[in-house]
Amino acid sequence: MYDNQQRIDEFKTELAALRTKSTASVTGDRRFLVLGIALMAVGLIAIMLGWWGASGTTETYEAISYMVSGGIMGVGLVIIGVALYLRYSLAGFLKFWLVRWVYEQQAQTDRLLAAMDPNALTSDATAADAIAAADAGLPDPLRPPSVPGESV
Amino acid sequence: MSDEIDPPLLELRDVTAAYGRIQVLHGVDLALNEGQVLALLGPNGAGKSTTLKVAGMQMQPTAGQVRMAGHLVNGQAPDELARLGVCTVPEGQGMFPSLTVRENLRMATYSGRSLGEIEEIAYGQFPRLGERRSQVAGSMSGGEQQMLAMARGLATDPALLLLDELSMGLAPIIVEELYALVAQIAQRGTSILVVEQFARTVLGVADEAAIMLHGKVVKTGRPEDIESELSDAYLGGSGSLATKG
Repeated sequence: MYDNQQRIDEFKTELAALRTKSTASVTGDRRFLVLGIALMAVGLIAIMLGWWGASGTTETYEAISYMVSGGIMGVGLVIIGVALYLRYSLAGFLKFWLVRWVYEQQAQTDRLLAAMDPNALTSDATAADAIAAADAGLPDPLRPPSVPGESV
Repeated sequence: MSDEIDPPLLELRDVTAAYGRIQVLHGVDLALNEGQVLALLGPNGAGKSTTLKVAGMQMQPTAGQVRMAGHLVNGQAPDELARLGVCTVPEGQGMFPSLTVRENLRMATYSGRSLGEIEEIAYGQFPRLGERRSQVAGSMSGGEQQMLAMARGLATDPALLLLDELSMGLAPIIVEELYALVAQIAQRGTSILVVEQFARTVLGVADEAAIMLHGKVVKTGRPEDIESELSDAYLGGSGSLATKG
């Protein structure tokens, strides 16, 4: 019996409650992406069949029946298909974009920290260089470049 | 009355994994029991870190089974397992270098604990971190960064801890300090799978050890038995390690 036996038992109980997926390599995202494409295709076929059926009859009630079962259902399927496709293709893209953004932010912060580090800034510059630069009217190598609008 | 033997807390059965078309794990079998420390050793490129990623489901196996306490976890999201109590401390001081120590610890609040509780645990185990709570993590020493990564993991109260190359880039004295803590954690009942390239220190705290070569576990056994086989593995003389022990 361990000190944190209760925690281990909790872990086992929660594991037992996990819903296990049947395959390792096929992800849910990919399944929904394929389903979205399939629904779009089926919807378009249904619209075409509805149009074909409606155009082949002069009876209004038959034409309406074709429009309802083919047209409206087809449009519905296409809308659901497009929504699923966008949802699951954009999710992958946005995840990538988010990781990229976090990375860029981190790199930017590193650059800022490096710029604020006096050791990094003055590694090759000495006080003598600073005095010589001031005498010559040149910018001080020990000072970071001034920001536009900054009061001197 | 039950004489049933508990299944291992973590078990890999004939696991294969690949990066694109390149297969890196070729049927890995491993078992880690409750409260044990299992050291996974081997030279660079043997597949140790990939095995760890597969164990934490950060990488899906292409075949085989990953089981936790007897339950199949193939296909589970790594964040789901993390919420249950599987904690990975990745190679190379896995923390946010641009954030302060305190902000890094805040990242562990996903487990449901408050920042105060997490800080109490972290600073209790690593007092040095308490002194540096407002310091940017990237400006600390390698050892302190590794402590922070471990503290963040431990603060979530994990049941299974996956440690990748804890000693990387650290002074031997810091490595010993960290492994002493690993031993303490294991004594409390947490199961630990630790991947290491430099084996001596980890063998001192491990209950079991395994050697990996070319994406396969070629030998498992007690640390003292494994130690004698290490030079063979690291020098590429896999003759005596060709069959799994």
